[in-house]
Amino acid sequence: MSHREHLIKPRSARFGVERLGYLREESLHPLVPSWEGCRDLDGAWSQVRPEEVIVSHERYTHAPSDHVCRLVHSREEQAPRAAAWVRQGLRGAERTVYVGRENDSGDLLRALDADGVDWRQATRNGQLLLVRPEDMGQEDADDRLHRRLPELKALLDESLDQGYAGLRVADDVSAALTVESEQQSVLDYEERLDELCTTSPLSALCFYERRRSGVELGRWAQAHQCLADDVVQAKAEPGRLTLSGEMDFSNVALVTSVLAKATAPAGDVVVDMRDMSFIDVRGVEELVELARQVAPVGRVKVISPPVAMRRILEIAGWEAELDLVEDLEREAT
Amino acid sequence: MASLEQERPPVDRSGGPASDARDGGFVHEAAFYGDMDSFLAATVPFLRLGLAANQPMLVMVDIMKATELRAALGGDSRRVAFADMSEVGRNPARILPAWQQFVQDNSSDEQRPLRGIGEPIWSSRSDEQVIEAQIHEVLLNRAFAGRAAMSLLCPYDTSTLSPEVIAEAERAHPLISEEGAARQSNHYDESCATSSLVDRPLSPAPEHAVTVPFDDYGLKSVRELVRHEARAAGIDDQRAADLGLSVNELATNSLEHGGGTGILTVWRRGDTLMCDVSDEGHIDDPLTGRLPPAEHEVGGRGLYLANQLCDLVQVRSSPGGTTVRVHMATG
Repeated sequence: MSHREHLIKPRSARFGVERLGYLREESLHPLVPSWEGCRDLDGAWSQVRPEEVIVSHERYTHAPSDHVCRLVHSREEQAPRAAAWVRQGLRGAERTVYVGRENDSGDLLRALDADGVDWRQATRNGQLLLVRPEDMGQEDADDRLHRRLPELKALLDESLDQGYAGLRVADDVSAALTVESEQQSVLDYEERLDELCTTSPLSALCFYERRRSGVELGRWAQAHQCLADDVVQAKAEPGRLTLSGEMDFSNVALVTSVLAKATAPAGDVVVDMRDMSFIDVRGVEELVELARQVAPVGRVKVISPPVAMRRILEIAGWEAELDLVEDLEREAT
Repeated sequence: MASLEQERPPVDRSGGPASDARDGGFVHEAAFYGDMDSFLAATVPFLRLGLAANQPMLVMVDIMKATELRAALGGDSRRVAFADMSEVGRNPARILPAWQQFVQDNSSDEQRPLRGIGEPIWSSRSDEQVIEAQIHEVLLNRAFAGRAAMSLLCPYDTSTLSPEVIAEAERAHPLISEEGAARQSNHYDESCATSSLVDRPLSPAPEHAVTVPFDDYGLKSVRELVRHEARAAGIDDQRAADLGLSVNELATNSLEHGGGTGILTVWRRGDTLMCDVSDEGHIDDPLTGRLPPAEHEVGGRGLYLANQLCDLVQVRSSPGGTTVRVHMATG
């Protein structure tokens, strides 16, 4: 199926050669040196350093306090995404922790190798820690996750004491969702982790496998400030929603699950769509719905919506529901 | 010879299949003409009746005929709204929403019947456009009969249109006027069935067409393929984005209502880019996509949007499956 492919524009396209390539993810790494950037046909040509070319959506970098729900289709997809996350942590002088079984850690290291990241040095000096789930309390028979948070807190404090800028964790807790009795404890854990991330220099990348979990993931997704899959990224903070990539039928329900976090007790909600290249009718409908909820106390202000959004508002007659704001900063440059 | 204006009342309104606009009914009449004089002879008295009764009026014809009509009406033409049919009706599926809007905009008027002239078919239309315009004519009856108090006159140019097109006009209109005389159509199909039109199969996609199956997680690839092909065909950015959005919504319909998967086929034919979205669903209401979405079911939104953004949209649906074909001119 074509959905694992990403449209990449080769270096030569910068000089007017109109040739677009569909590049399979699996074959990406060996080809990285010959590809300089990625673009979606709607979006601007974005230049990316070769080592940063994984796939177009991975351009998105996470802030130090982000708590990210990262949706993947399978376990195999985790390693390259975890590698990008780890690389950012190492560059940002953060203590970086990857929680995974030996096999998964091996995949991560291979992905780091492919990206040219010197993980050996980082593991020797203790900046990168590879931790087995059981060492983080996951295999605790009574409550798999209840020990996890104190462990992370202690590690965060220790890391700050040692001079690191913060703590960054990549983890997969979604395996527990297959056990019904565990579902609530995963939610409790994520909610407490979200709180900890917003109040300290801790960031967490939580993988959720879409198909294996067999449950509607919206309930768990909304315990995160950030949501990301191969197509879209969303970050919801009180008064601000940042969207990038493309919002469509495959992710609209999940993105919608985090929208409520963007409503502020009083005032406007800014929806930053500067890095968004597409949104479908359902996505726009959800933003209009958000505007209606906000209406008693404020307006939804949308910065640089994609062309599709303007069309949809026009045709559906929703133009008055939201304020569209051009990005003055970008226009000035 | 008695003028059309004098002759109209006894025939028009004697309890035929269409009720009188003055009684809250919808009167759908085809006027056959052969030159500009007979066009004006059919349309000017029709508009003068509306002027006398102070009725809201909308005329959708080409610019040349609009100019002639304005001249014939003199200062009264200010009381008639005009729209360029070659623009509004480029995709014939956009004409019905325009009438719907006209009806809606005047619905608060103290029940004054409305009056309209619309010429949906002209000789330079492609065969595919003609069929869609013919479907439109039939669907007008279905959309407005019993719902809108409106007299709608549809001029047909007998000097340039084929006998088949004229015969189909007789099937779609309960009333016909010709050479100053109005009569009941002998061939009007009261059931408003479009099957004789939509049963004509779409031309098959050529061998070299690009075919991509898609599921939930393939929508991005669907959009990328369409925009890429649109650019390669020389379609400008805005229209390429419009086509990408349209196909995205049609493909989403396949995922939601058409069995959860679909097939996209894209190819160029002359100066047109064609995209077929096929699935196993069935659209059983032929008005789907031809009325604004607020008035219709959720699945109609994608089709309505595609109708607004694309140059031509052909829907062919049966219990065995649905294909929606959209056309975008590359020039």
